[in-house]
Amino acid sequence: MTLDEATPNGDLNPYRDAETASGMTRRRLLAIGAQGGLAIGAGSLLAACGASGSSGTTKAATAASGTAVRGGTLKVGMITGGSAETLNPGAAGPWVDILRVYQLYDFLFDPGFGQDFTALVPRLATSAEPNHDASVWTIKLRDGVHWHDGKPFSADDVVWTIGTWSNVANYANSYVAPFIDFKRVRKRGRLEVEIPLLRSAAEFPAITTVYSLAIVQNGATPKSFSTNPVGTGPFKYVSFQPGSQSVFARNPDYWDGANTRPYVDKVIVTSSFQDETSRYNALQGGEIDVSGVIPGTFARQAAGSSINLINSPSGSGQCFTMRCDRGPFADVRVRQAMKLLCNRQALIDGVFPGYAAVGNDVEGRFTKYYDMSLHPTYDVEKAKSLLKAAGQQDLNVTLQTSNASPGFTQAATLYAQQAAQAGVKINVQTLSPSVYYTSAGGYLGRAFGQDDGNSWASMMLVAATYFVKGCPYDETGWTTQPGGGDQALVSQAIGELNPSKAQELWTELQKKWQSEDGHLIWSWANFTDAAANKIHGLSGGIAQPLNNFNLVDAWIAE
Amino acid sequence: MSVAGANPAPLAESGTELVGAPVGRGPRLLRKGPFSRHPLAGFVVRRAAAGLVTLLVASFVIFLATNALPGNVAETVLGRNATRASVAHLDRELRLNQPLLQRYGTWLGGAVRGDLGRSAVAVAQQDTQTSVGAIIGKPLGNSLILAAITMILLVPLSLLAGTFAAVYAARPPDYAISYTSLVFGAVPEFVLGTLLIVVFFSLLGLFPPVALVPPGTSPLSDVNALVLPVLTLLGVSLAFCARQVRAGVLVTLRQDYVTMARLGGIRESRVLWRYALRNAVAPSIQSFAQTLQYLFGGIIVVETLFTYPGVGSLLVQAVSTRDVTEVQSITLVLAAAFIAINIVADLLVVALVPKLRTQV
Repeated sequence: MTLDEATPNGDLNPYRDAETASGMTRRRLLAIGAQGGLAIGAGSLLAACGASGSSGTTKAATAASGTAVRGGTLKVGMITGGSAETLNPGAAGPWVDILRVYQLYDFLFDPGFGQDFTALVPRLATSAEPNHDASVWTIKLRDGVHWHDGKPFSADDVVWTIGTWSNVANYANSYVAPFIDFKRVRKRGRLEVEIPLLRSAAEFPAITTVYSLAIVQNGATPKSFSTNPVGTGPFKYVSFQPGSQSVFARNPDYWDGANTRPYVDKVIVTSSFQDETSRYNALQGGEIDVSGVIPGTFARQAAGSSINLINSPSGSGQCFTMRCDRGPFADVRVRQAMKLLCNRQALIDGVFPGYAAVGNDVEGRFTKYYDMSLHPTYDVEKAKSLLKAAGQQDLNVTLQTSNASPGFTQAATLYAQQAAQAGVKINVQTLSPSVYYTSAGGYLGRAFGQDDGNSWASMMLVAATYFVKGCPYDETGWTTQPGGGDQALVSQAIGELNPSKAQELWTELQKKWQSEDGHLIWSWANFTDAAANKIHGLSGGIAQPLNNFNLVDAWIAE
Repeated sequence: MSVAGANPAPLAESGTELVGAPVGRGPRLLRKGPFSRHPLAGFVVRRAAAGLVTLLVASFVIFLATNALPGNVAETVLGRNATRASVAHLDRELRLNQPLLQRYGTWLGGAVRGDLGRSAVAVAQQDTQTSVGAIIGKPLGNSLILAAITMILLVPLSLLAGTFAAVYAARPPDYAISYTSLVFGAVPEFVLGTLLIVVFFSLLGLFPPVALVPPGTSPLSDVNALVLPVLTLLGVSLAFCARQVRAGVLVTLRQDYVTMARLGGIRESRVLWRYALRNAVAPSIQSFAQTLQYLFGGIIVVETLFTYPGVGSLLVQAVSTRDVTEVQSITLVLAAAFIAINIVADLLVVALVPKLRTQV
């Protein structure tokens, strides 16, 4: 019995919180797994999924209302990324870049369209088999896929793409460099690639779902992405002007189209909007059909109109960050106190009312090994006693925030008011958005700040991002604190192939992170988008906003 | 009654001569020079030279402001994706490892030749198009078009409204024009623009709420989309310009020669047009110039509200993406435009007031 068969994911209502899915909660599922009732080894899991056919038709069938209609031009409005916008997956940054990447390219695997990330969906890869200790992975590739220029997709393309990931200028590098032994990556056949790793990684395929790791054509360079980006995705490049607009045309030979998808003839992504008001006006006026990635602070306004609001839970954590290795929060009791005096629901009510869920300080929501039994506690008295024990009963700290992300400054202000109840004085310092995420602005080094995260496809990805020595985003100093942050335990969890044992290890780590790490994740902000009434086929997604950015499912009918 | 010129000018001292009719505090003493016979040409040359010096100083200040701040430019551009290797790479590509003055000289020399340098962000992303000149060309053109349309409407409207208000000074037409234009002038652009969107789009459905200009097309290809942005800019600018015109016309209408013209039986419209307006409008030219400077590069709020792809929006985008090279080059272009507009305004004033041609 495979995991897919054990999980009644027939109900794909994205508006339902994953923790309360009818019939099969994550906790029950994990309990079954622990009893060995399921064959959930990584290789067999993915192979079983590969036999289930195209994931695209499953998404469209449940998300659409009515019969899909061919034709038309879909106009999407996104907040601008300015001249920094790019069609290079390895340099994609703002949401508009990620949206475009999903139209032009494909990935080896996809996190899936379900209520969690339990089962990766094969895309350009059909299976991934580990060796005995998950230190070498053999990836089998899909046959019959063609690039937009007609050339056949093959192992050469994957080997070339992995080579681009080895470049430190490529954003993918920070995710894969701790794992992939680039020099030994080789093709073993026309449609087979062997990827040796630097360390055992039981969930290695999950890394390939990150948006920076789209598969590009053999020989593609950063320069070629500017002039003629070629992918295997549902749409082909027509034109692109950074900070203004891109035009993509339907790919009639799309391998996952079943001769029908994509439904629309053209996708125009307009990215000249600098604020939500003008974008909302454009949606109302029909200049655009879809507004992708609306901040929760604005969603309430959009929801009251005749526009359809697409609202979905996500794994995008909104957090305060505290340094574990120096400064006022080096004492774990102080960090614990700060978590205890945070009234998370009140923050949500003030910042994203109705468009977020309470966070529990642990990244990795919806992932396979995420422990949903960990809940936050709100206890001001206990916080006071911890602060007193640590000699910090009159704690006075500066919280650096910015308008760089929606809701940051509002949350900072509200949290400062809450902290005052416990005698903690928080001075909110607002930095310019243009410097907040730079080293000049103190990013990745500030004693007390804010950040937001992504929806991660696996706990391994969470660890590789925040908790492994040398990781790219160790903003709480977890790995540089005395003791080094349980690196041995992290490595053991990453390499553990036995799901039951892996669950034990990840649960132990999550408890440590919740109790001791400097991330105070107060909420999981929903993904919210808006669409005109004539747009169908788009629903919520937990991996990415706007139908997991799969515009291939969209169709237009008045 | 003395008539100007009836008494011959006193003899000049050696090496100098007195020029012009006695005006103000007396005749000007000028040494003979290359432009002594062509004072207007001399004025143009001196103004242009002063403008160049001003631009040079401005360029240094701009360069210093954008490059001498704490922090590394490459790190700032790369942001959260900066690694030691990627920062070193970008430092080399943008020559950030050179001394500050050398970089300034390279940048300025390029600007004089028309090369505004390379966009730091485009270089970081290894884009094919990295030239700042190519990047800002279209937005600059878009801003020029919007500014030109607004000015074409603003100047005659201001002249009409200001003159009408002055002719009927202290009477109901004057109050109506003055207070109405003041109300619109006092309201911030985003408020006026939003109001216009509510009325003309939400309620009446006449004009679109945004002025999107797809790449490769001209703003003039959809004139409907320009109506609300132009109306917004007219609304906030008209009061200032019209009141300048009104003040100038009021003062001029009280001059003796205007009174003489009226007493001589000349038609009122001819008095206004031929005798009053020409002299009255000279002081207003500076207000038109200031408005043009504002329209060209300073209307970021209107561009944001209507999503109009002008140079103001581009500058803000460059700041938000921390593209330092683009910021400094755009700022230099805007500074040059400001200075040029000032020079042209000064020349226009001289052209309109003949007596100034011999006094410059």
